[in-house]
Amino acid sequence: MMPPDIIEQRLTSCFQAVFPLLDQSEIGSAAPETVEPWDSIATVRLAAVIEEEFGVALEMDGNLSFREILYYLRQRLAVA
Amino acid sequence: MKLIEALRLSHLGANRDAEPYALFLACSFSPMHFETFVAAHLAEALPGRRIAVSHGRFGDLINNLELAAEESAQNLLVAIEWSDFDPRLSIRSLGGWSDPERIVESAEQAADRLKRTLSLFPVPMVISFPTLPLPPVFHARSLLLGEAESRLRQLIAELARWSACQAHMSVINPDELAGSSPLVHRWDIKNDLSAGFPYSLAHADALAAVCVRALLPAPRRKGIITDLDDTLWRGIVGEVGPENVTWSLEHGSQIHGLYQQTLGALAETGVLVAIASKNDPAIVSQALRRPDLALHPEVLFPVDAHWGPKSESVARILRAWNIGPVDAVFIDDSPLEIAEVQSAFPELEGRLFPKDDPAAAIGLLRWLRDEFARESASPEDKVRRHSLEQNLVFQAQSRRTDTEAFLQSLEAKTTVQGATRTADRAFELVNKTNQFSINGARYTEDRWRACAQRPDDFVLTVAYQDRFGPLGTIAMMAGHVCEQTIYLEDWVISCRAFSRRVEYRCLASLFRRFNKDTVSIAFRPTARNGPAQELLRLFFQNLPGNGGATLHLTRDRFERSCPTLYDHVHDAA
Repeated sequence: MMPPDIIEQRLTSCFQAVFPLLDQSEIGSAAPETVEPWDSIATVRLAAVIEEEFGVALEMDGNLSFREILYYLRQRLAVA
Repeated sequence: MKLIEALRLSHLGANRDAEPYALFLACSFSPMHFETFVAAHLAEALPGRRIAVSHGRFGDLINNLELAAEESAQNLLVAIEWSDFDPRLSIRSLGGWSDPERIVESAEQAADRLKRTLSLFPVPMVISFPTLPLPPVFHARSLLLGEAESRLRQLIAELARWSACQAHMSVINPDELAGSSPLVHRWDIKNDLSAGFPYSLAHADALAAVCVRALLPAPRRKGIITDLDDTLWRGIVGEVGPENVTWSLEHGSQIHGLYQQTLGALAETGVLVAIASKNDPAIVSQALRRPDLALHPEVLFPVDAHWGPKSESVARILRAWNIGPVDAVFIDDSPLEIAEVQSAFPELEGRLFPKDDPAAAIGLLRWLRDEFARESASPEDKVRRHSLEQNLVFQAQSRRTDTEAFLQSLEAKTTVQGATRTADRAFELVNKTNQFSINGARYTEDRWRACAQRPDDFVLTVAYQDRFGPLGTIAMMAGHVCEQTIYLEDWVISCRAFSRRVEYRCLASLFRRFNKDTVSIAFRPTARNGPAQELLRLFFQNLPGNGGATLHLTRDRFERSCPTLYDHVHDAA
């Protein structure tokens, strides 16, 4: 169980690690269509970082945005 | 290391203005996280360098190796997996598992191709042979080793043996990897099937760490200072007598015998071994003459036994070896003695001899091997201890005799020889020497080799011998020649050769060999290069501070200050 704020902070760190050129202000709205280096390799890398960081297997279809991943993680990990 | 940390580190290592360290990663699987971990471990090991890891195409190792050759890769990491011997050994292909014999035959052909391709590379390379479990290809039950599988494993072992015998190839030891990455946790089958990346994150990290350690070996230390009682042997020799200290299985003290064996073997490769013991020297001498000792007592130099603090012994030993504390380790069974020595020499690493813990003692022996061992001893390694002993005699005689008469009596022979920029003695000298070094510069192998691409590049080594014996190759000079100037970028002389005017011979040889009027010396003062500064002060009244500067030494100025040289010099190509 993890507080929602911590989930968001740690997910932001994951995005910063995979997309180091992305400005912090852009991470909240990051999506495959808006981030140029977000290719299939970046997707695999991002999934691996998130899985390792949160200790969960990401069972999500397709390339999902920061918000969609955040929502998914909150559903799985957040305290009530 | 976690992947998020590896990604951060690999980005840090991407500073565009920094000097590059380029590595070609040759593998047939998708390098993905493995590449990230390799870059991260390189960035950690080479702070300030720009790490550039490149790789080839998915699915064809041979093609990737050829690509590395086309790109003139200077550093190569080859990660081989089972599928490189036959695609049917991968879970990503469906070529059929009904005929394992055919798979092995095809693997034999692939191994031949791989050997031929690897032979094309003269550059330093690290090779990792298959690290993953085999898929269920073979017909024997998993717990049994069938004939086909054993043939396949023998094939890999033979290829690894061949690679390990090549001077420029380093093969990752599977036992070392097993220590940090258990076999059962290595294979990420889901990721292998979905993305062509077969390694779990933990395995990718562990393998990358081992490979980077192999790519960038740490400089070897030079000497081991050891205690005697309850360390080199079991028992207090002053209490039980020389005949009753033990180091054998029947006395329950085998670990001390193994320690002796390790020290003896390391001494054979040029490692210095000395004794620092609180004991009666006569009793120590008696004990060291015991014929059942598992190391030859002659390798112990100096043996410093007395009743004073051990830090005094260590000071004398370091002086006799002429090395700094950072290049030695001190081993004792008493934490108190280690603390006393370290209070006097904070840079000296102290290690406790775990006399009552055999497993920890084996760990210590392994650590000693890692810190000091090399596979073969160079000629300099073989004569080091003898020449240090002779150096004490040399110093004593030189103090008693008129300097000129003494130097004239030495029957010295100096050989100045052109060398190449390979990982040989010149490379070792430039990276190990502190006291007579004009600037303290250190090189990685790729930087060292890169200098050779300059058309006017030179490397010279200097070997010396006199009536006290050979010192081996004790100096190197490197730089480039441009018009009337010799640019001396690196110049080091081993401390064993001091007081013989080798430094003057080096400069005289430079002027003579290249027939130029000026040697421009890339000087930078360091905390430890006092002897080099002392020489340069003879030619230049004021030496530059801090960042250093290029000093221009003309032939006239050199010849005015050069004393008489009595050695016979041989200039070789």
